[in-house]
Amino acid sequence: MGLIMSRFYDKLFTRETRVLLLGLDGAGKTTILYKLKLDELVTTIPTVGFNVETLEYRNLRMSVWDVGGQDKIRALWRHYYHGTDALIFIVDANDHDRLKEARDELHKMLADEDMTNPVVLVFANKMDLPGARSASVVSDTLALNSLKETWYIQPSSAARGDGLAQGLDWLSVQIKLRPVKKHGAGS
Amino acid sequence: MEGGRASALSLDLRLDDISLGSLGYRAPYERNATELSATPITSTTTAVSPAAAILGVPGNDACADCSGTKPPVWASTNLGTVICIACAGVHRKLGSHVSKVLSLHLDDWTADQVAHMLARGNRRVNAELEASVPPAVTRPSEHSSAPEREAFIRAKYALLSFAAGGDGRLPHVAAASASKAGSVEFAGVLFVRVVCASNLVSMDLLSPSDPYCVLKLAQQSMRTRTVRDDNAPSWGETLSLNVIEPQQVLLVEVWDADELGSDQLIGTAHVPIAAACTQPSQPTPITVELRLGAEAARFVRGNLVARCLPCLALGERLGGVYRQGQPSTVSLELTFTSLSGRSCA
Repeated sequence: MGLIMSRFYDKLFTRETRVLLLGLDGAGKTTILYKLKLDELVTTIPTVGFNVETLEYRNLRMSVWDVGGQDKIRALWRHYYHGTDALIFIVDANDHDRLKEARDELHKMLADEDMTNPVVLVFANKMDLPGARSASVVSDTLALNSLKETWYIQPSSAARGDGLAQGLDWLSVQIKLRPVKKHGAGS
Repeated sequence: MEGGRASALSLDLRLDDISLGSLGYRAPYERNATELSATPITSTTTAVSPAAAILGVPGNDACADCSGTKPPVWASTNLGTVICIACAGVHRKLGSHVSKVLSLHLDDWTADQVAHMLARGNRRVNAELEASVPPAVTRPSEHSSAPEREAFIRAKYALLSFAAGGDGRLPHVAAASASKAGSVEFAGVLFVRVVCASNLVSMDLLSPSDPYCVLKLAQQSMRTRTVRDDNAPSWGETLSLNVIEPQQVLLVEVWDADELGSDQLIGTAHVPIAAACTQPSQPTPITVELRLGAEAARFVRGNLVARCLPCLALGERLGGVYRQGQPSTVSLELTFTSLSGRSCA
């Protein structure tokens, strides 16, 4: 009976959420994923392939997909768009030269027909580095104001663990405000 | 119920070939100010690929930092060195103001980036940045731990400890997390479209099964959604799995979801992925017969006594499940995307 009740409770109160963690190579996607999952700073290598983890956060059960960011792996991103509730887009705020490249990738993926109006959380990451641009500069360069999606930008440092919880707090509130999406793909 | 149909699981494996040059040229991005006017180089416009040219530079046959024996297929575009994937991870940790890391095979290169790499190279850079490594400092090897690598690489590039006039000191680096998460390099990604299954056995009283399909490759496991009350479900869902090497075998399981109690295994199949891996980017359709789970096999053999309750036996007959010896099948489409430099060299 306990099992039945706990399943019932889960069905009522736990929201299954599909989250994509994308961004240019070296932005910090995998580091953030495992900082959230394990609360540890893992030693990563460039992701050749993808990582997926289930995170529980404030009645959300999120399957979080982290796909490699190299130019030719980005061609695979579109396979993961379908049924996405939330996009977490990570930007290396210290890599000034590539902010426009990040902008182009963000706008391109949100224009894809399989990406159906996800909420967009942007982490302006690597704020611990002295050359990091402010969140407002990153926001302007990414042209976030022109997005039709609901978005929020959060300064973060995965290395120090700063800003990640604040970002997820915003995300969980936004997800709960939305109707449940029908999931077609992924697990 | 279609009593005579084979129970089959169809999968569609696609192996997208994203090897060098297969995607054609993409616009060069503003990697740095000097590259804005750069013309792109791809394998389609040059006789020798950028990767091959860069690896031909003296000293570029081994990682600039740990001298690992595998061909170093990562590079620091501003420093002008080629490095292994483990050292590339450390370089990225230093920040892009110290080292800008790209893959020789998985990234697009501009002509200026390639020219800089050709002008520098591991031998030349190490002659400058490792001019005075103190005897007490051991260079990392390919077996070194992440903190050992990081201490050396930070000292070498960020602190310039070993350049002429450097103080030769290694910085303190915190101990590494024990977790190996996020540190596996895969050969590629396999996309499996789970098309449909047919002739599944009913595991439920009075109604067809509620099937879902699970794919397992090494430690990974992905599943489709559950289709309610259907012994010939069409999932039409694409799942992705990391491939370590093409000799792996995909385990396919079809389960019956139960609201109460545990889900029941309807059947399993083993699908070697090698054929799909040899045809990158092309969908390989496969229909395989399911080996039935113990419970399901009992139904098919008509051994209803095993189910004890007469009413349950009756239910199974009413549900049309009692089909002597009809095979269950699953149809898949497999498509492989190679991410290894070897296949695109």
